Amino acid sequence: MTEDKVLLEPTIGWILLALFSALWIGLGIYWGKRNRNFEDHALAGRNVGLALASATAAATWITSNTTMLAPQFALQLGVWGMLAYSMAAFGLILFAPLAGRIRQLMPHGYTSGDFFRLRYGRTAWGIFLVFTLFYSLTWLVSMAMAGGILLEALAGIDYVWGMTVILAVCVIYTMRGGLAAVIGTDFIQSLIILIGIVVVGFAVLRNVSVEQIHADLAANKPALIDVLFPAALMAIFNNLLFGLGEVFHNNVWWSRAFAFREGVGTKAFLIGGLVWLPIPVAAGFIALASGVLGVGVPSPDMVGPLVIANVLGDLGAIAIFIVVFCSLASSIDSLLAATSDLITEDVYRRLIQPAATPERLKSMAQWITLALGLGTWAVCVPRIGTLASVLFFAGPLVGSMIWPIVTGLYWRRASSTGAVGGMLLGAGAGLIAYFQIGWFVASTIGTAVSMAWVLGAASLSKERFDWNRLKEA
Amino acid sequence: MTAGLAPANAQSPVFSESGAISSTTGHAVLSWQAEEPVVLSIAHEPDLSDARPLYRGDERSYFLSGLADGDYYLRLENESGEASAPLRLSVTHQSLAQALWLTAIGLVITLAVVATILRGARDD
Repeated sequence: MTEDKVLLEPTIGWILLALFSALWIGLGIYWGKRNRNFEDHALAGRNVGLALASATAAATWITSNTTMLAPQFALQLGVWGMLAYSMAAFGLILFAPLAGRIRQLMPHGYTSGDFFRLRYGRTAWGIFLVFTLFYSLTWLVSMAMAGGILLEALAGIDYVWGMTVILAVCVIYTMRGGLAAVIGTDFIQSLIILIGIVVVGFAVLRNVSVEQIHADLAANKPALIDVLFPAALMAIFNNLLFGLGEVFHNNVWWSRAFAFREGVGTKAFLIGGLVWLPIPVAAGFIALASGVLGVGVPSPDMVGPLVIANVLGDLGAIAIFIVVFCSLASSIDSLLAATSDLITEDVYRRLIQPAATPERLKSMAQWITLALGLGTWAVCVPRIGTLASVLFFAGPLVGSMIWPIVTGLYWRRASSTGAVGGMLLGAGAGLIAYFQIGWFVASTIGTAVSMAWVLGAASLSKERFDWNRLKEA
Repeated sequence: MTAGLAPANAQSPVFSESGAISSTTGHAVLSWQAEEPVVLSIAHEPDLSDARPLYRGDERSYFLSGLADGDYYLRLENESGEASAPLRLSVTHQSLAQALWLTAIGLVITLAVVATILRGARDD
């Protein structure tokens, strides 16, 4: 029943979709003209400056989850839930020093897979590839599905058409423009998202005061402001560690560390994280105002758009449509680029065709981007709702990679035994916790088990890794 | 999904959930079938003597959250005055001791990650 009630006329939705699609594709083709080889295509010539670097770090981390799931977190888990979501900013903030270290140790590196292969050998590299491809592909599918579902809910655009357009637009401009197009569009998308969130936040505050919201919550939803809300407390560090695992391991972020100009990475990730930090709080605050505003919420994932449309009317509906479209595009393009580069470098170049020329690698990366897009589309068309929730299984997988990465970058005594055992035991224990207790503890337990194994193995290790071996990538 | 749950009077609104429901997080999605706009009310007392309205409109679901431990009773009433049977919702939050332990473990791991990164490669 609720699907029939849309916030925006479908015609307006289609016009907005067409305008922004044309803009992103045009910019992608323009920026792609400069790319001559794989290094230009995959790493934007390793010469991205601070402004673009900071914007792409923040924009890529602003997914449709940030604008849609953060309000849901606040409505489900209250003030702690809102803060728990914003803890994911520490993924970017703590990756800042790692980015500088990665650039220093691997001046010729292409992917996070290069690090695992050179640092820990083929077994750890294989496990890493399975974990990261599971995470990246489920994230890609969940984003594309979210795109179709949101465009249908917001503007009545048919699910398959909306999902197809978003995916096709991102595939076209990522294929043509590579990382340069992704970073360039991210810059514009991040500005639009930030302006949209600030305008909406002030609009909500003009309609209700913080005191009114607090009084409503205290009377009707007391657990949302309870300092000792158990599920919310467990979510704080679980979310922080999930975010840390996502950023520390994934090629989306490593490719940026390689692409940013020397000396830029640390500052850019720090600025990106600080810019991102308040966004889930602002988005979550909107949800907490739903009671005072008298907005009935039929489904928790729609609380953000419903409150915004209630406060800002048609203008708000247009704003949330644009913000959602930009959030989706800024994440889907990054995932397409980083995952195609990972497959090109780690599978095609390392396992199939070691003698491939840089031009051939660039062409292969473009075809892999297209194949990823088509594969994602085929999986998304049947709209199997449970697929998107599979992404939550990735929490323990990514959490189990935090310690192998951190110690592998800083400790010469970090060993392959530690990395392999840490990833397998951590992921296994985390998945058991996921099913025995709940999603809000899976990353914490997975990371804790991995940490214990990695630290134990390092303390017993006689290995002293030669950092120069990382330079050969 | 709710075939077989039709009320004696086809006009009365009816919850989709069969029997009592429970929550360990203080939130739940309620859904129902109705032919008219409804008022959804919540109460602490089984006879709904202390009922207060939560929602009024023609949606067919409602997301309820932020409830403290306890039993709650929910009722739907349409514009013709016909009401559903009360639905019991029991809220028992997860163990606070378990939550505090896991929060402490998360804090320790996070501080260890930060310390390792800040310490850097001193054994180079």
